[in-house]
Amino acid sequence: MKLLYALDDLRRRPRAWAMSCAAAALVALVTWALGGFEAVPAATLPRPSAGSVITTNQWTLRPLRAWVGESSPAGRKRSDGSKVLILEVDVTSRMPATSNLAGNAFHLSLPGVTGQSQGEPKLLELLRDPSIGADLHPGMTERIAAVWEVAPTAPIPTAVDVTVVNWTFKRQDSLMGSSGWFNPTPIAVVPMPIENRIAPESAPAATPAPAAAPPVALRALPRPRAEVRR
Amino acid sequence: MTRIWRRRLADAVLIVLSAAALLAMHRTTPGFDEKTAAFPVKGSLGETVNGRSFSLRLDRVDLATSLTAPVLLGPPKTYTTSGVWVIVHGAITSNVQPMLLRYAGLRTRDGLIYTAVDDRFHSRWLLTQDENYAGISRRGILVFEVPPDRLAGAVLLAGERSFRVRLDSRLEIALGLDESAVRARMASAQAGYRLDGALPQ
Repeated sequence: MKLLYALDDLRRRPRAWAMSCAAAALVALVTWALGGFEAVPAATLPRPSAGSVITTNQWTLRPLRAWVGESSPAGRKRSDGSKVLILEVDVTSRMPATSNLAGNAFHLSLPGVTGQSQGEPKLLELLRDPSIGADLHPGMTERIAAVWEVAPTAPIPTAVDVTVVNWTFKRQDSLMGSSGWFNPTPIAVVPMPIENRIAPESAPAATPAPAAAPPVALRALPRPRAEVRR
Repeated sequence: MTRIWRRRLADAVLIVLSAAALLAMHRTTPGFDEKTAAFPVKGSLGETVNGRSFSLRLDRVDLATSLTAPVLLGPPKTYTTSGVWVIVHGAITSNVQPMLLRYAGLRTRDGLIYTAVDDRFHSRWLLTQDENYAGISRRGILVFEVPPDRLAGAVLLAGERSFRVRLDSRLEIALGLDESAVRARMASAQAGYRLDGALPQ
């Protein structure tokens, strides 16, 4: 019935229908031209190996090696026995002014490892005349250490995936009209083997079994109690 | 062409023109950075340059391939660089009230800004590290790390606010180094330039 009404309407207002159809066709055409009908690209990121050069909008990066040790290259050591996870990278700033934000280019995810070993590095160190903080000047390549902390009881991982994050410069942001870096987007994942540089006498934490023991024991405790109550 | 079609054509032209005008305004209206930009106060080496809250006179520029600076504990440490260390001598005076020089940078001819290095080493002569009092001139140094090929034509920027000076004066003092001067200075650049002890003369 509705179809009949529509056909009747088409007979009465052919131009309006033609215009509508033309508009719909135009929208479809523009959508097609802009790639709107294409499949979304698969979300797999490239996995360059350690030592390859990755260029982001802010930096040219060359992740070199990763290791776990007792203290950072500049000599920082936590009193609670936390280990440091170090990522050594050659970084060249591509920005127009000195910046200490190189840490925003790296993101770690270590499933099962507690402590501040997730996300962006806790601090950066300059490996030239080791010192804390890394103010990187435009065009001057420096080797830096990105430092994460691993809880004393956590097992020492043998490999880690380092996600490289790209930021986009906006001349005017939407809030203030001020310039800045926005929209962090992962662009690559670098699988890095982790070298264990912890001295053997303090090795207990390096072997996963004793390290994993305390949480298991704690979780196991309530269960027997519950059984006793029954 | 009927009258109604002429009218429609005129409307369409008007719409396109308005859109173009809007786009042009959007592209050319100054952003927040431009609206709140610093007021440049220009000067050159040897003259006292007056800003709103402080004045600065630069006397001399030294180049060094490495620095020796004290650290809090232990013997002095040597600081190397992949470029060259630029040590600028000068004197700062606050104009009104106690103030800190929180921003100092070298702007190269191609517009890159190399911020002063002041947190890697301790030196009581660093102009960015201590408070300045009104009317009392304080001599000291500013230390920069720059690639030597970018040094010619560099301008020192100084302001009271850190990172981005807004709606305040920013001193822009030309160091007066051209290519030949940089070459000559590079040939005689000192290794192990001492930042501790007496103010280097």
